[in-house]
Amino acid sequence: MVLGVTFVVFLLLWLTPGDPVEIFLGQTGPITAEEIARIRREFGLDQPFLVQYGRFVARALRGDLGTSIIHRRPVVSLLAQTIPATVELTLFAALIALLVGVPAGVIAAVRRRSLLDMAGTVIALAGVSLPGFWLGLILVIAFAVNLKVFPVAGRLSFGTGLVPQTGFLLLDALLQRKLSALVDVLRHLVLPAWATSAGMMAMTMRLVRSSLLETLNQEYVHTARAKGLAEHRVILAHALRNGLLPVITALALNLGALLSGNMVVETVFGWPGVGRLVVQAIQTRDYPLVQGGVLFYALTFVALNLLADLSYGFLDPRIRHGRE
Amino acid sequence: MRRRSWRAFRRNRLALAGAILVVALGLAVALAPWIAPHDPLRGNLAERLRPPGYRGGSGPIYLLGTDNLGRDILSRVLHGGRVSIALGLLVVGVSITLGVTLGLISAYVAGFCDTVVGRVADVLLAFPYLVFAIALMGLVGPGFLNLVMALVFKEWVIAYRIVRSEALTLKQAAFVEASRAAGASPLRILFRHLLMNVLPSAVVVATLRVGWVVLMEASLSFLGLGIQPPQPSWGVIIADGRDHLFRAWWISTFPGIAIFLFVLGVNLMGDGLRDALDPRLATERIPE
Amino acid sequence: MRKFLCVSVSLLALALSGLGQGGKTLVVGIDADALTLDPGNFRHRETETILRNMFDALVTRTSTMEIVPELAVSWERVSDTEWIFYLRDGVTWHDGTPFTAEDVVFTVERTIKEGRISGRTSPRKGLLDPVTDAIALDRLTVKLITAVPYPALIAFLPHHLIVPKHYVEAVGDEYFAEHPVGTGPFKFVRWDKGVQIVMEPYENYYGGSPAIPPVGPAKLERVIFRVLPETSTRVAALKAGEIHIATRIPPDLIPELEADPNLRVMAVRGTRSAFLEMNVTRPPFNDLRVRRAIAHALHVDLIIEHVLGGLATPIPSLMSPDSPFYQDLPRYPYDPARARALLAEAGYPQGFSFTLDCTPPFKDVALVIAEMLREVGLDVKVQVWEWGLLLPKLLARERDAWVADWGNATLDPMDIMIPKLRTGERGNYSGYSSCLYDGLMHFAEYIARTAESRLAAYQLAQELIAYELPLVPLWVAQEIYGVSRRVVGWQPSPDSRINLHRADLLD
Repeated sequence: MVLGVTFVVFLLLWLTPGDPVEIFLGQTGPITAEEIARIRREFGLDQPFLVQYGRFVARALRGDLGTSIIHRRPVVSLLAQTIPATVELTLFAALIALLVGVPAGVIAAVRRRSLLDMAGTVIALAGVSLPGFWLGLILVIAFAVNLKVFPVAGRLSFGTGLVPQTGFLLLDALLQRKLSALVDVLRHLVLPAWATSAGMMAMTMRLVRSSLLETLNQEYVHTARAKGLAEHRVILAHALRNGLLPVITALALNLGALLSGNMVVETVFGWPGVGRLVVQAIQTRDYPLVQGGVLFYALTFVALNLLADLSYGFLDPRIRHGRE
Repeated sequence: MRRRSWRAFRRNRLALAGAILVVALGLAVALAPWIAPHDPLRGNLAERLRPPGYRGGSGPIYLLGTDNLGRDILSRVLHGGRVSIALGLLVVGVSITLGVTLGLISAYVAGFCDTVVGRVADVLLAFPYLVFAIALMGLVGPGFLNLVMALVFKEWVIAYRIVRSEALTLKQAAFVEASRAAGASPLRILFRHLLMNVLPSAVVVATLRVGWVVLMEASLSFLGLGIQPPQPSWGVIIADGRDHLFRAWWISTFPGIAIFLFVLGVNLMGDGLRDALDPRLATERIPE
Repeated sequence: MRKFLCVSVSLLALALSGLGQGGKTLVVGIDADALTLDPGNFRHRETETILRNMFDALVTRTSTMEIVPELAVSWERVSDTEWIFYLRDGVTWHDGTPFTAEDVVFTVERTIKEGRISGRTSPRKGLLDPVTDAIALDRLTVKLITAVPYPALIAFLPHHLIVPKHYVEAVGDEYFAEHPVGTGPFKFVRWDKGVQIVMEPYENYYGGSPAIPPVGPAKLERVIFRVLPETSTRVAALKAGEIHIATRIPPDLIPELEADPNLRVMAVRGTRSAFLEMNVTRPPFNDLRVRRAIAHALHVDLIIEHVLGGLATPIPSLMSPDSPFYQDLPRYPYDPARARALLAEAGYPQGFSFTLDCTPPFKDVALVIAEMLREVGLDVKVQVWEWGLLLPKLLARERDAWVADWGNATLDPMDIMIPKLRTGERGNYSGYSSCLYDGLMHFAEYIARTAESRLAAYQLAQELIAYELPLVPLWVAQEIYGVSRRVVGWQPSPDSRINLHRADLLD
């Protein structure tokens, strides 16, 4: 599958108009046709399509994704610098979304049509219906400019003494036992994570609510009730466990989309993530970098799908038995 | 819609409110050419960045203010809604139809068919959205229908995955087994049991996705790949106004409110529909 | 509830425990990160803006674009193709090693010889192309030899920052690109990619160009370039006091900055000329009368006033008024009646329809232009493109008319008049081809023996363009910076480089 994705992308890029060398050279100074030809040659862009793709696959298998035309550095190192930033932000946001979204969804389902339910619905809807950059900018204006409680943008202040090793700054701060750095990293995380999680939180809440409402009506829930189990046990142990199935599918998809880089949030908060890197690479037709990014997406999706599938089996005994 | 469902829907006040909201917005937008006070495309450079309620020298009122080119925001929001709503409905409609059909078939028929569609869906999901959008727009040029294509391309997978996983569970549910044992035809099981039971989820997903599509349109329009100027859409107006957020909050805010109200309405309506359409939830209200 | 309290308390703690960036740390909010810290391996404006503070060149420019000595004390053109540069004595690299002519030779060869940077050729070769050799005559004297007479050489040299031979050879190109050592006022401290580049003053700095006082080490204790790609975020950070200089402020935001007592707006005329270009290879724009009609239909001053906040200078031809080669010519007056008459004369009494293309930054301008053209009976649609998509279509001559600009950081005509309009050049999207123009370019480049004749040729060519109008010249826009009132000793420069050597931060 990964091979398929990269091939399709390679083909698409090849078909798309736009010459990376032209764009890279920009407008400064006189540029000769020989110079353009030389750069094309140096990056193997003068080769036929299949040769280029073959070389890409052969190199990729050895862990070499080539050199970025624009950055002139190895694609692997560019990705290694940006992927942890995106992953850290996404996981942090997902955590917030789950911590808020699942309980909110359960409450909304149990107290259906109550004021709480309605308020939750409206708040959740506000979360999904605000454009990301709008929400982000409002958060910046409110919390960074006016209240000055969080930094406007970035990932780390200067002066914490933190030496990035894994690239996951929270982890680095813990490993290096630097409390002030940990706090600094967290402060930078709050606003972008908030902006990122808004949509996911709403989606989680709505899906938990609707699927819980359905499972609450299933036979086995009635049975559990009839057995005289306490209502909160019925909901948490029986209904929620099954009701989480579609939630997990949706979340896995959503997480995947976010891991591919939330371009808008990354731009607004100056977050050095993979989304901005790859979108710029697309705009400048930096083929090696786009390919590297796509490979990362493909692998992420494979991994997430696997996780979602595994969690089905874990959460729904019927499927587990059905597979055996 | 069956009469009982209709009654159930009408009884649900929130849903009714949502429906009214959607119909009102839909009407306002549909009548835009007749009710918009100004030309949405042409501005008056002398009346740039006027605040809401501003009355120009020669008398015209700019109820929601003007943008940086002196265009009337109210007129732009009204006209922009036509594009945004049409796009949202079209994209989600096509995607849900496609996703539900394929999801059901995939779950019910299983085997080879499931594998093929599943793999295609995986590839699409792993496919970075912008690469595709930029490539497509580059090949065929930006435009409304191309935008629809670019959005549907990946959008159907969402419905497909959710429907498939639900249908897989339902397939083994007692009532389906029973009906199969009773000799119901596969088509009947597919439509009567599976389709009717996955519909609520499909409706929930669809409502949540309409907003997403409208927002995605904004991002793409922003990259110059979506709705072409001077034609406004809600997304375009919000994106246009973001540089003026500090000084002229009204440019982005009013189309933002319009999107919010629309999505809210569609969602409330979707909730009501879901309750009304869902046979299991309907029985809940029949005394046992 | 207790959980909620816990969360809010810890959030509050987080919120209040900010890390102060005290002292004289000047932070610049820049819209893009450096692509590399190797001065020989990029073609990217922001990268140069940043690197400028860690590296010096043989010569530099004042904020009025005058060329003055920097690492070179003086220079002479000993023949048509030979230049001798006398280098400053006592300059050291940030690691303490003395700077010599060998470093200049190394830098030039690294730029012009193939395969010198990690096996690839420097992308800056084209910016120094006619140079074939650099020879160290002694420890502090270098001779540059060009293949052909190349009077523009000195205008390109401020952009070629000198790199240390001993260091690059010792650590390799890839390490150098992330751990630079230069001769500039600031030395490298750390680079958190995509977030910030931190520098501190080099205590043994020779003081910079004596032509730009004050001379001496940098006054700041630290300089940080923060990457903030979103305009509104840069403004927010400026208002929050987190940054002190914000680049690329759109004209619409000027009143917002001016309303803040802690901030001021600094603007300088940039080096990018904007045009409405037309495809002259096919109807309707192959007709000179149609192109003139367009020129008469545009009310350029009105656009400048309302869309660009008044911060642009209209131009009659290609060159900026800042360039010594600028030719002051009359502009086509705004005259819709004349435009309609010209259109009728050209056989379009009813007008015609076409699509005006542009990239996102020019969207508003294009919309207003379309409006003005509608006034004279033309049916104009606007299409906004991503540059990567529009460029191939322009090169294939598939489009009719578009609004675009072209950078001319050297202010030398070589950099704009040749690529933009000489027959077959890569920037000649309009497909213009004129023997006279090409001849003038050739004369100025290779034949002219004196500065006066070169100037005359370029000025004649500008007049030719104003007459034939393959493009309607629009303006040179100002570059706008938002600056904290605490910043003193800094002026924005037309070439967009931010040199913080002489800047200071008041308490």
